[in-house]
Amino acid sequence: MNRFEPKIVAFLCNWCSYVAADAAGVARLTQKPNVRVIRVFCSGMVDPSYVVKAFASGADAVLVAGCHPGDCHYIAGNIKAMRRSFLLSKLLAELGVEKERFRLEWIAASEGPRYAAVMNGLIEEIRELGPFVPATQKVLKGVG
Amino acid sequence: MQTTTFEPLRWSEQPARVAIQHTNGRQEAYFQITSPRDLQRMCLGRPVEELPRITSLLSPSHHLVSAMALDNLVGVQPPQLAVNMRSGLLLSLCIAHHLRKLYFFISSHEDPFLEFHMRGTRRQEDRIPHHLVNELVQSLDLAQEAATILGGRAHHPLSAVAGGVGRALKEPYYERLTEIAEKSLAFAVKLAPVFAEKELGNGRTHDGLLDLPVKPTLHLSLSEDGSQVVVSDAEEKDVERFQPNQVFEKVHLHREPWTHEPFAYLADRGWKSREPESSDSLYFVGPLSRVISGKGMAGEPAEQARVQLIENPDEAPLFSVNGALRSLLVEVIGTAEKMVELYKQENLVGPSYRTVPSHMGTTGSATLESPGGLIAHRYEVDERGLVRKIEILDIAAENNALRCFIAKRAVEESAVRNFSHKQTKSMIEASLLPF
Amino acid sequence: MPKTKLAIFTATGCRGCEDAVLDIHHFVNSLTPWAEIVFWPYVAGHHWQDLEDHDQIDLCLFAGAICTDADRQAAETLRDKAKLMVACGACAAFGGLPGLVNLTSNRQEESMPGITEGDPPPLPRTEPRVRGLSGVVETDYFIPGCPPTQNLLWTAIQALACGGEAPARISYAYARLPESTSLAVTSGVLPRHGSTFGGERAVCAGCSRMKQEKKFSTVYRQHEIAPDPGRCLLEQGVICQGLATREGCGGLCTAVGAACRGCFGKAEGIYDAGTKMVSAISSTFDTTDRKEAERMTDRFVDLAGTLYRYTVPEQCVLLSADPKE
Repeated sequence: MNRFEPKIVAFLCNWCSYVAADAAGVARLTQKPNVRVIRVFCSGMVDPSYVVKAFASGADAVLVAGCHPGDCHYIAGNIKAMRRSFLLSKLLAELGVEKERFRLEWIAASEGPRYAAVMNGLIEEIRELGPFVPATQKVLKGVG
Repeated sequence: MQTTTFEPLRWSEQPARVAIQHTNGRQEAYFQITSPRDLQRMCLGRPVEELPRITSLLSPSHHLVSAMALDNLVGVQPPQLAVNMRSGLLLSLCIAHHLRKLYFFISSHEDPFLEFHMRGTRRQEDRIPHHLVNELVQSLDLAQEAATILGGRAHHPLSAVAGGVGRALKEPYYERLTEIAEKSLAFAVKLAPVFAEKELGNGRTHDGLLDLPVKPTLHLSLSEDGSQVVVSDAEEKDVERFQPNQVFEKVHLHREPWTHEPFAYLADRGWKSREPESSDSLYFVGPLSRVISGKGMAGEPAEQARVQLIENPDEAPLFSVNGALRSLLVEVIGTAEKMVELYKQENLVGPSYRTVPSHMGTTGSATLESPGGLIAHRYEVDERGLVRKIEILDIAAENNALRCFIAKRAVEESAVRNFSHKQTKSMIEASLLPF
Repeated sequence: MPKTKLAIFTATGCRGCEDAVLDIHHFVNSLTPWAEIVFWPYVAGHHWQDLEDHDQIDLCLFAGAICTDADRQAAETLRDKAKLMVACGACAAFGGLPGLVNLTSNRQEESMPGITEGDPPPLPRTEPRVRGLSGVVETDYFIPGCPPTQNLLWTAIQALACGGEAPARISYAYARLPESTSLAVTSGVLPRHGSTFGGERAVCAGCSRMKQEKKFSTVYRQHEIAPDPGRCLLEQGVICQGLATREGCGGLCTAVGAACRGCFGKAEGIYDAGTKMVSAISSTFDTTDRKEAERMTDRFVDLAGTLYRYTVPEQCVLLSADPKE
């Protein structure tokens, strides 16, 4: 079975999206097994360098999921994450990471089904896109 | 087929080697730049205002011509204070550049790092006195200090930006600059006759450097006011004049597969060959070129030195390594004279040091007479101000044919005199140094 | 006591680093009781064969980036001969400006067209990717900067070539070196392997500008604004990389009105300088509105080329990651 299985790293905030992921599991909603979850206390604490480290370590996509604006446990942590996401996406694009590979989502604690849907959708999108090949490998293989 | 190589070449700005191929009794010498600079590729896609910093990799003067090209691109005229500061920087870079070459020349026969106290015992009467060598280094340091004051840093300057300079001078520096100018002139006037006599005098050479005549070709330089590029020939005749912004149309670059540096030639006449003897489209640039084709130096001592250089019948032929070294001496004096004129407080104060542009154009270009010769930049930018196309004319490309020729002649002379490998290498290096 | 043997060499770059050593001329002269320069092709005209006269050399200052296989060969030869290999200058330390060509995605192995038998000797092959010294051989110490500042250069030479015995005027450098390095230098022992001769903190620590409130409302490119000379550039909307860059230069560029471009490489404790800058700048965007944040971001250009100006080959994580399978 040679189908490409994407590796997704998901930074989930403790108060909302992690709970949603947990709920999706408890409710036995079908989910594909491609996600590595990292629980953080707020989406705002996800430093852009963690995202880069994830890609450098072999991730094919990175998802950061936090509370909806207004619902952040720390008031405005998710806003900080939102502000960072644009410049980070732009930098990633210049470094050879397609924009589909990095995503910021708002997922509330009660949105278990939404979590499952987002995740499954992302996995298929990345499967289509293919594995993330760092630019250095592309150069050495004479590709790109 | 046998190949002999001489590398790495001493004093060479870029990694370079001379390779000689012996085939059936014939030998052909190739002067090869062995590593690509790739400056174009480094600059494509960069914000154009970053180019003064990136292009300073080639030489400090490129920082200045890049800022001038930016002025042209954004359509602003820098305030007079900025123009003076930039000119001041250029003068100090010129002195530093020339003194460094003279220092290298002296160090070809004297270890520059020998202990001071030991040098005294090895002093020879027919060499330049050691205290003068020390003063030369100090003068070089002063020139670099002036470059640091005016440019932020001597080797990769920082102060020239689009529309002016980055900051004004601080109060204590005015006096210091005047002091540096006066000391530089005093030393230049002292050095020139001694150097000429002890190091170059009587057509004499030293330690393997032969007086290598170079066939006269054309020279290119910028007119004194910067408004025209002048093409002249050996008899000081004006062959052609054109606008600086046409330089990239008038000069084309020819590439050979065996060296990373292209050859500049006059496009109208077409590429013929890299041999000055069989091509009239080659030209060269630099101090020798300027001194010969110039209309004369401004100040008395410099003019005297210049006249002596070009008119003295006992001297070695004009187009020679010897002549090139003398032209450095002439220019050091001339530049120091200009420094004394410019480094006055009244020229270095003003209400504003920068004009902020209001829009970005699509193309910009500039030319400048750098210490080594004429240089030029031309940029084309996209709607975001990112570099879409960049053309650079550097003296390395312009003098490439000349350097190839000199390397070849040095090899030939060495063979005639049965020099060893080491001696041949020294001969090549010393011949290439002043160009 | 036998003199230590010193070698100085540049691969591909400019001659700024070697000229910087020349500029400490009289200091280099004062080295002579302890050290001799046995291989310095640029200034003393040594041949490669001269290196073979010595079984070993003590210290090699290697400048320039690795762009061709001849550069790689030179690095390996000198590494074999030298007890200590020091990457001198930004190009050797992390790739420098030549590393910018790695950003153009289609850099392929270049062979000059038309070389056949009977033609002049072929040029060294260009490497597919420009590398810093540590990308090709084990590097013992780093002296960052473009070019390195004289005080740090001199401190490194003294520390590594003279065992700290040379008369030292290193108080200036001492103040900028991390405590552990400066203690080693003054005691005459070698600093920790892999140390960088630079400070630990960011350039902001040495910058003379006033820092007030960090709120970033819009980005200005260098030609779009004449910034207030006394105030932090980042606060005025100019991208200054000082906060992600190692200190040691004393805020040289910002003092002249130019924003820091990171020639000392990333500061201690930073994983990736580009993302550090992204985090710093966008965290201080003065807005909470999504559309406004997008609009502000849109004004930035060439992030990779600016944020990794000198460090693409060795410090940009996504572009220098060694391929793994």
